[in-house]
Parts: sequence; C-alpha cells; structure tokens
Amino acid sequence: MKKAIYGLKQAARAWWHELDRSLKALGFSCLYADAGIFVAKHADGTMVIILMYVDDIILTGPNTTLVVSKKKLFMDKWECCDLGECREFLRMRIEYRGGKTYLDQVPYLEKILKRFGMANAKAAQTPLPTSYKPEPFDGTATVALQSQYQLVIGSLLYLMLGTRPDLAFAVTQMAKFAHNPSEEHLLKSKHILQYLAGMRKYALVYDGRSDTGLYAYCDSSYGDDRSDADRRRRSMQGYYFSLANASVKWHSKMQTLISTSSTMAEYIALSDCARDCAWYKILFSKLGKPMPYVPIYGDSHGVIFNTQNPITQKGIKHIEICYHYI
Amino acid sequence: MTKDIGKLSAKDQRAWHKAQFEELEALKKHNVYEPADLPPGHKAIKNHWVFDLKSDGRKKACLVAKGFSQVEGLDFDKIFSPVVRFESVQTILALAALKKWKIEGLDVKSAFLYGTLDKELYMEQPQGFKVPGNEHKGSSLEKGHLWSQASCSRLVA
Repeated sequence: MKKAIYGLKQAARAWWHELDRSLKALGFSCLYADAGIFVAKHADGTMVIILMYVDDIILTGPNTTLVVSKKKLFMDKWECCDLGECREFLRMRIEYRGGKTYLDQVPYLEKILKRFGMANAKAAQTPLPTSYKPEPFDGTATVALQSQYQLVIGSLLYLMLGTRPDLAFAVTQMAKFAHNPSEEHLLKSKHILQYLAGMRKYALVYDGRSDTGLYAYCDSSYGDDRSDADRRRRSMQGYYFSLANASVKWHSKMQTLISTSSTMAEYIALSDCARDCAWYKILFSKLGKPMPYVPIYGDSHGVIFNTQNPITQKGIKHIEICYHYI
Repeated sequence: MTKDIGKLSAKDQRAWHKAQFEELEALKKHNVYEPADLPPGHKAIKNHWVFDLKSDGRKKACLVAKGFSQVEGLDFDKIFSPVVRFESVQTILALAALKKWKIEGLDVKSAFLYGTLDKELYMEQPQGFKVPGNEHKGSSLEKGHLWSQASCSRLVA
C-alpha cells in the first residue's frame, strides 16, 4: 500500500500531515491554542482563519476577497466540494438572519428522538428529575443494555458538545455509567431525551450587535455527588463563557478533590475557570483581538475574599497549590 | 441497521455494485495500492465494505481496512491527529458574527486517501473483488471484476 485508506490506524494522522504541509505552503500556521485552527497573517494586518475537522473546513476573516482567493488556492491543491457560504459544520446547522448567527442541531435531534422512539414523548421540564442523585450500579450490565445505553449517551454527548449547554450537567453525570449501566440509568438518560422533546427547537444565537464582550459565569455545589465508584461525597462544578450574547464554551465536571467547605469547592471551580480564561487570552491574541480582562461572575463571597486577599486561613490552608492559580 | 443484500431487488443490487466500482475507481485514481507479493514476516490487513445511504439518496460504498489487526510499533507508531475543538468553532462563529465576517465552507473529497504512509503495509485484495489464484496480492483493479454476493452480504444503511 502506498497511501492511507479509511480504517487504518494512522489514516487520520497521515492526512493531517499532508494538510499541514500544504497549508504551510499557503502561508498558514496552526495555533498553539488549538491545532485545528490555521491562521495566515498578511502585512496589512488582515488574516484568513481556517477551522479544520478532518475533511470539514471553514474559512473566514475580515477580508472576504482574500478569504475566497485562499479558498481557490486550497481547492487547486485538493479536490473539494465548494459549499459556498457555510450552512453546516460537523452536522450543526448555521443560519444568518438580521445580523445574528443561529447555530443548532434540530435535524439531528429530530432524528435521534425518532430513533429512540421519543418523537412524541411527553415533555419533561428539566434534563434530569430534580434531586435525582445517580449512584453506580453494583451488578453487571448485559451487553444489550450496555450498547443501547452507549448509543443514547453518545448521541446526547454530541448534542451537548455542539449546541446544548443546558445538557452539560445531565449528560456528563449519566455518561459516567457508560461502562456499566443499570436499567435505572437508561431510564434517566431517556428522561434527558424527554426534556429535549419539549425543548427541541433551541439554538445558540450569536448577536453581532452585542457589546458585552467575553465573560464567564462560574458556580459549584458542595459535597452532593455520589456518582463515583467510591461513593465519596464530591462536589460538582460548572462554568460557561459567553460572547456575542450566547455561550461559546461550557463545562460541567465532578471535582476530583473532596472539599471540606463550600468555599473550597467554589475556589477550585473558579481556578479551573480562570485557566480557561488564559486559554481564551492566548487564542484571541493570535486572532488579532487582544483581551484586556475577562469578568468572571461567581456567587461566593468567601472565594472573592480569598482571591483578593492571599491570606492562608485555617479553613482553606490545605488547598492544593495548583488551585491557587487564580 | 443491517440488511441482506441478496434480498434486495436486482436493480438495488446493481446500484450498490456500481457504488463499489466508484470507490475502487477513486482508490485507483489516488494510487492507493498496487499488486504485490506478501514478503515473509508481514501480515496482510483484511478489509470490508461499508455501505452508506446518504441523506440525498446517493449510495456510497467505502472500502475500509480492518485497522484493529494492526500491531503498534510494527504497523503504526503515532496515531493522534488534531481536530478543531467544539468550543473553538462556537467562539469563531461568535467572533465572526461580531465582526460581520463571512464564513465559507469546504469539504475535501476522500481526504484520507491523500495520506502518505510511513510504514510498509500490505492489505488483502478488496472483499468480493479478489482475483482467483492471486488472493495474497494487493488487488489489481483492472482485473478484479469478480463480485461475489456472499462476501458482500452485509449492508449498512
């Protein structure tokens, strides 16, 4: 064999190397912040940005003529399908109306509701029942249940990552049991589908006239999670970043450290959030949009006090060094 | 969803058969492989066909290598390949909305077939298109016109 073929372990990497080489020849270089983004800078300060997901490509930049000419050069090198103004990326639908960009996965959502027989399901108000605390399954799941569960969770994960920050908590919670689910877990993951049945038309709407800039909201719970194998009481954290009046990044996670106070749990969440701020700072500096600062909104006075006053108090002196990042 | 190709109408069978030939043509165009004798010490990777019915009704057949039989260190080293992060996509879309940038889309055709290999790899001839007496050689496409129903009985739609 001389070239790669679908299914070979190294096929994706081999293609990426070819691509990287050809984009370098066109004046692009990939970013440290995300190796899937390529940027070509020009002397007059304008730039062309390329987003790359294997063979799915987006080009954008301030100067449309320049973007189109780079696209032509790229198409000379590789046989491509020119999609014109991008209306779909990673099977997410993109629409432009009245200065706003709408991003949704409604067709995909309809498809999976139908696949799991939930197209006409009674709508649920919340992704998971309120006060439901999932716990690991002590038995052994049947192969059929496991594969059915993984199918549901896989579809939900894709929706959550794409356009549904409202699912972040529910899906990350339920995804933890993918290796050994119980009937109860499957039922609860279908509850998420029921919620989606009632909220199927939601989209992320990026408003071009928004002037709020990038900001983040951050919060955590305290010691209420028993979903880990050892059933110790851990805390959950979540935060999201908003730009152009809609979420651009969201995150929900069980904290690995066991907190001894709500302030500690909030402090850890804030520290993780701040590290993502730093990521944004690196990314935006390369995209010609320097950020002076990012406001992070939280609701813990204890944490705000501790970040402004580096005093090691009795209550928090045991917090790991890495969390003092903030 | 799997279906038995033998139970499809003769017209459908022909259509899928045509899709297989289109794929073999693409492999030939990209100069993906050439016939070769398997040197001692090497193992030929198996392959199978994946059939896909596109949302616009097009029929696509894709020849897929059974990469799970590849041995690390021998048949491949590094396999990590970067792709854009979801949050980067959303961020760039928001940024483009703010700056009124136009967004252009492209789709590379048979992208993986462009990748050059850094290892010496051997694959069996495509399933259902083997040349008798030559089974252990990489397929020569001009000759491989044999299509057996039995070996293509699984159809994923």
